[in-house]
Amino acid sequence: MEINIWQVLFQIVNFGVILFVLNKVLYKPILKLLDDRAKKINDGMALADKNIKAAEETEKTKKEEIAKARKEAAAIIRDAESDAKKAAALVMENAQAKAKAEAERIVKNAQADVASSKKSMEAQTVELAVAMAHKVLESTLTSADSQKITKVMLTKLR
Amino acid sequence: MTIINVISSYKLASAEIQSVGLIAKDKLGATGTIKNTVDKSVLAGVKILVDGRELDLTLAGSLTRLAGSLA
Repeated sequence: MEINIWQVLFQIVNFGVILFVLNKVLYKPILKLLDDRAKKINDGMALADKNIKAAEETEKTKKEEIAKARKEAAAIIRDAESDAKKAAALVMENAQAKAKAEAERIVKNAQADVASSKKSMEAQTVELAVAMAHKVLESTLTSADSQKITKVMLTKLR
Repeated sequence: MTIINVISSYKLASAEIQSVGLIAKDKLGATGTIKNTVDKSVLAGVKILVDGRELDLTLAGSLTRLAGSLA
């Protein structure tokens, strides 16, 4: 087989031209297209990552806010319970003091009533005794006795 | 002239009326004419009345004063 140098050279040049043309017309645009797509995809993924991070951040902030609100609510409930207990204790204390004072007043009144009744009964008893003594004297004292007593009394008192 | 009323269960003798006058002067600071009224309900002793004031020297009065001191 004979190798024609000019044919080989022509083929090499031909190949070079085709390569050049293909590079210019096909390879570069396609590579550019692929690069652009890859860039787009990367940008999209970066944006997605950024959005995911932002969402996570928002979620974290939301959870913190909820926890803070729960803590505050619990504190408010605790304070309200404490205040209610204190108020109830105060009301109970006041009611007990009032009841005690009322009971003391009733006892005092009852004691006063008893003392008054006792005094009244004593006075009535004495009155009755005096009336009885008077009656007895009326029936036993003669006029002579009466005169005698009068004379003695007048003598003693002058 | 002040009237000194003396109530007794019998009519008082003059000496007794004189005693009443002295008692009225001493106890009530009163002097005047003594008028003796007899009241059988007066047990023993006398009651002296002058210018709205009363001095009860009867037995009943003594009992009443005793009752008052005991009550």
